[in-house]
Amino acid sequence: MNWIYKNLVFIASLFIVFFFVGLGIYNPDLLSQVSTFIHQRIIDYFGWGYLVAAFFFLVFNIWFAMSRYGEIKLGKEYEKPQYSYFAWFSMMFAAGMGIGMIFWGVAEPMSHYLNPPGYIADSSGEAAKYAMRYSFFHWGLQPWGVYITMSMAIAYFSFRRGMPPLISSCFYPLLGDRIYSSIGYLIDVLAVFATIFGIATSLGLGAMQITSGLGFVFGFESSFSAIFILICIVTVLFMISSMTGLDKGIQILSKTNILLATLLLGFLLLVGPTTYIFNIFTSTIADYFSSLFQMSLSTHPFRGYEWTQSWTLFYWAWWIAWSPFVGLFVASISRGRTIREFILGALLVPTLLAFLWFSVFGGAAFQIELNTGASIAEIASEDVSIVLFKLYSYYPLSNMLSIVTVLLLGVFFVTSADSATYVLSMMTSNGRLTPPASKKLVWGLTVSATATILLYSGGLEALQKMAIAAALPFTFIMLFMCKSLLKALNYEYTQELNIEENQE
Amino acid sequence: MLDTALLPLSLKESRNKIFSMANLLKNFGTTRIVLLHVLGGNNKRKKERVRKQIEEIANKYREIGFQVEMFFKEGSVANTVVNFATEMEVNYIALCWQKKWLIKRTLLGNIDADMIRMTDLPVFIYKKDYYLFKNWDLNKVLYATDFQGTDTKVMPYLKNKDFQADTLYFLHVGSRAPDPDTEKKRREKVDKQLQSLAEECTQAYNRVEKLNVSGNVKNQIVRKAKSRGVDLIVVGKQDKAKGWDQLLGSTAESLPHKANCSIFIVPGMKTRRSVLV
Repeated sequence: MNWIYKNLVFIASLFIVFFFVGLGIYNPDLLSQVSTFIHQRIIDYFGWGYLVAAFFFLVFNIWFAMSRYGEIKLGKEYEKPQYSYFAWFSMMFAAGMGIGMIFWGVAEPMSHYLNPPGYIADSSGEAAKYAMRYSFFHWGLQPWGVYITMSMAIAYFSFRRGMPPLISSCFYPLLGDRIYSSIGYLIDVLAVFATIFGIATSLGLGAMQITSGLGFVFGFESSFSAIFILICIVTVLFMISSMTGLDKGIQILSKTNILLATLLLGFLLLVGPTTYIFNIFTSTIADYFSSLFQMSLSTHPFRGYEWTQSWTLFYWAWWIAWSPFVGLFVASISRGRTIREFILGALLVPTLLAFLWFSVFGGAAFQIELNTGASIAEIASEDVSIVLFKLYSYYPLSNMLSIVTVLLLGVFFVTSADSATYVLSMMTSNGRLTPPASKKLVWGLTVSATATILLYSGGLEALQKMAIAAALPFTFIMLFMCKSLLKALNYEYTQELNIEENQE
Repeated sequence: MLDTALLPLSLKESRNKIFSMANLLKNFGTTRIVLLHVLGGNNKRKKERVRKQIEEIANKYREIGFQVEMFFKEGSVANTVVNFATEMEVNYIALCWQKKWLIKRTLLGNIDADMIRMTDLPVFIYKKDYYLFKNWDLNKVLYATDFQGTDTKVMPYLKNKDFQADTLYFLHVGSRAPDPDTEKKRREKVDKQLQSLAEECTQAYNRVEKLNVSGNVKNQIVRKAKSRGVDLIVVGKQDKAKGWDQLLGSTAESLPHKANCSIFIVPGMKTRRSVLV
């Protein structure tokens, strides 16, 4: 009985996973109908709320960094950061959006260029400008604003206040001991729900994309058996990495990722149209910052609303749904940094890297699309997974580039799955920073099995929509989290720091 | 300490309520009442009618056992009452609270609330309705303290032998600490502070109880007063409102709208305005 009570979040989460996976196997159409209905209704009615919330989180973080609370450490006063800047940025980037950027670095600008909102002529100069600006916007400050809000609260309450690193812990100033009751469990179960479905769909859909990319490069047809083999290999790798612990596994993988990514980025920058890329980089940065406010709050209700729904609002919901996982992970690697250092580092460095990535890959694609008449944009709108490899075919050493990219994707994959397994185990072990290996094994296998089974039955995209639907409650959870954090910091600043100053 | 009270009357108050309040004022040791009506307009007949009505009330108060004086003034009601109270050197202002709905007080304002905001004298707000209030004695009093400077101003009133009640509750509504360990220490500290206040009053009351809670200050005061069946809430008023309080009104200013028992507001410090006056 005591075991059940202690593992309530673990049991409830497993039960929910089995229920949805069972539904996905038994009746994938029903799961698809239900999830599409919920997802579409949320985007239709609450889409504007996502925009406002994401902008609020960004402003909240900037204000926090500049405020008197910026000096407060995410840890005890004597603690030093656990990881070097390079390791910190590498892990943060790998968990946050590394894999997505590989896929969308070329595909997103090309897709917006070919299919902009109705009021912009497609394949025009204006469409190209719009495509780059919105690619920056979707992968820029806002996603990191969402992640930082979540991770800062978790890091503060766990490392400074000595509470378990759980999302429910962040609500102590508002709920008191009620965080140990049903409402606290509900918040944690919801976080597990969003994380496991997010990572399972990411693993399944990603494996599908990698296989079709490999098929394009090496000339074979993508099939379920090929995807299955890939998932098995990735599972073995991330389970090995997971068992070696956070210090070794994820850190080594993340550093390898960043080195490989820098290698690719540097190659394309030097061999590709360098000046053209820098022109795109600087002018899009200017364009981005001058219209940041307008982009942040405009749903384009009069024209282009559907475009905003299918791109911006989808992204925002995705980042919010993904935030429990990234938030918990980023928090666990940020111990010992001050709030100011944490916010500025996590907000500016990954954003700048994303801007550079999109400028290099998007710029290289635009140069070929506009100057050689290649139909890269068309390929992007048809199949996202092969467009990057198509771009490589216009460059020297294209096979080598493709192999490095596949390797990079694979390592990013393993890193994401590894960190997700770690986070899931932590969340379901009452916030233990060294969760038991048995739970890592259970969650690792559950994630892979869910991805494989639903890929086979056809319910994977439905599951992704269910994961995104979790963004709605999480938006409110995060807003209350801001209030709770502010209350806690205000208490510390006025009651504790002032007392210490007076004592001195 | 509460010997003389200024009672501003608009004559919209129910007579029964005015008279039942008089019985309650006796619990404070009040012996002298200054009745004030602020006139609007120059209609002689109306003035005469008002004078008669105030005289009737004064006579009734005399029958109860108060010394009564009557005054008639012209001008802005809140300003006139506040300035006249200072001029007459009364000990406190007693108001027969008239409930106004949110929309009405947003559009038209609330003179009683303005008086509470502007004055540096203690204010007693009488909220019980006559037909609900059969017992003229103060049974339970709740003092909501934040351990700030107002304690030094409020405690003398609570310890005063003329201030008669059976039970006194000391309530502190604190902001919850960020984690359970700190919260435990905070609560222990608050308990000690409440204990030291309680010890000062043990002689004056049959029962003294401490209430240590966390949450929204205004809501918790109202909730605790209601659950304990309190007759009178005593609060201190601070002039330096912070944050949202500047916009929404301080705890003392907004309590009369929320609480369903009488309230006694004691100002914490002199404002610049009162010093000038």
